[in-house]
Amino acid sequence: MFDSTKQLTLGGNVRDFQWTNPHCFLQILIQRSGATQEWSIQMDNPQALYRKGWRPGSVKAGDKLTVVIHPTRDGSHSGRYVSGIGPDGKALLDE
Amino acid sequence: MPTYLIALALVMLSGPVYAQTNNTERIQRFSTLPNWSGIWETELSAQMDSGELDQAMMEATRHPERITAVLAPRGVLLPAEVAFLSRQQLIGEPPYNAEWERRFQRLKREVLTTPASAVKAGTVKACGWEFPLIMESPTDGVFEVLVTPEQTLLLFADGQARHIYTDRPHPAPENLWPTDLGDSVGRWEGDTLVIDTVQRKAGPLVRIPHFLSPDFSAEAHFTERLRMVSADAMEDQMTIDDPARLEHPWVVTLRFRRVGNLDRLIPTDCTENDRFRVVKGKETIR
Repeated sequence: MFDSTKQLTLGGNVRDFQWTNPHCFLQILIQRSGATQEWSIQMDNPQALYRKGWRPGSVKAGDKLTVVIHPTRDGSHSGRYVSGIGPDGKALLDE
Repeated sequence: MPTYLIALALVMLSGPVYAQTNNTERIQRFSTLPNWSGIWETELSAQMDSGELDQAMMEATRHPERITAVLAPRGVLLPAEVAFLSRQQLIGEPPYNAEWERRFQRLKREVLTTPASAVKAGTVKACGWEFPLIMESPTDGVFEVLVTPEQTLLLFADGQARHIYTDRPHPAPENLWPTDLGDSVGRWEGDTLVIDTVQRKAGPLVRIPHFLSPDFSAEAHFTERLRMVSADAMEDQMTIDDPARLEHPWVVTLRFRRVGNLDRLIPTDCTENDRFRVVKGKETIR
């Protein structure tokens, strides 16, 4: 489903951080060509993220993030989380 | 004093005395049992957490030609998925008898010759690990152990619980039926829990169409020797005996390590917010 040979960097604001099974999702609003796009970024499950130090409040709605993803092969606005930079300019925790 | 008050006083006095006696006996039995409390995980779960499995999956993605395991029609599973699943000992080839070996080889040929296009998109999805595979799960294989005089409980992150009764035998055969986890009883041999499991539902260990995994009958008999081998490691020597299908018993040794980065069991679930969809034959997220 994800093209792990490709990486895409997205910058935008968090609309929602879904702390759910079987995967957490970052919903990010991206501005492109004057239009707003919503991207769904799949992450690991809450247990795996919790073990790395993530918590449900690690990312909040409105936070400005830059994330690197492996995009989905079908070309939809979605992908698999690879890494990210938080509002403070620091790298987000690993998955 | 009215009779009912005397009766009430006797009830109030006898209850605590009985409970105290029972507790003392139970505490004595508790004190003879090993302390396996804490959170544990399968070897593959540990490899997942450390990133070792991610590395292996990346490597498989870069060099798909190196993947030789036959698990599903070529092109159905990603090389990374094959690298991940083929690490499970229980997804190896058991010592089938002649009849089942022929069947296995036929299925293997079918898997090798089935074009990926013949597999309906979305049907290959690992969700739910039953016994015995739960003992080797990379995703739900985080569990707590609770040892009591009456039973040992293995409580898995996905909500499944293996009840291993140590104070009673299996129910009579007419009161047993096949289930996902089977029926388990145990006995202590020193600090080793010897577990006897029967009545696992017949069929392959991975119930996904086109996926090749060991297939056992409902008469399969599982004997496990579960013990702590160091302060942070446990071992489960599992012997699978299935005279209807195996030439001789199959022995695998599964290992578990203590989880250091969880203060409680975080539940896993494959349905809560499953956004995986197949749209016009293509897998995507909605």
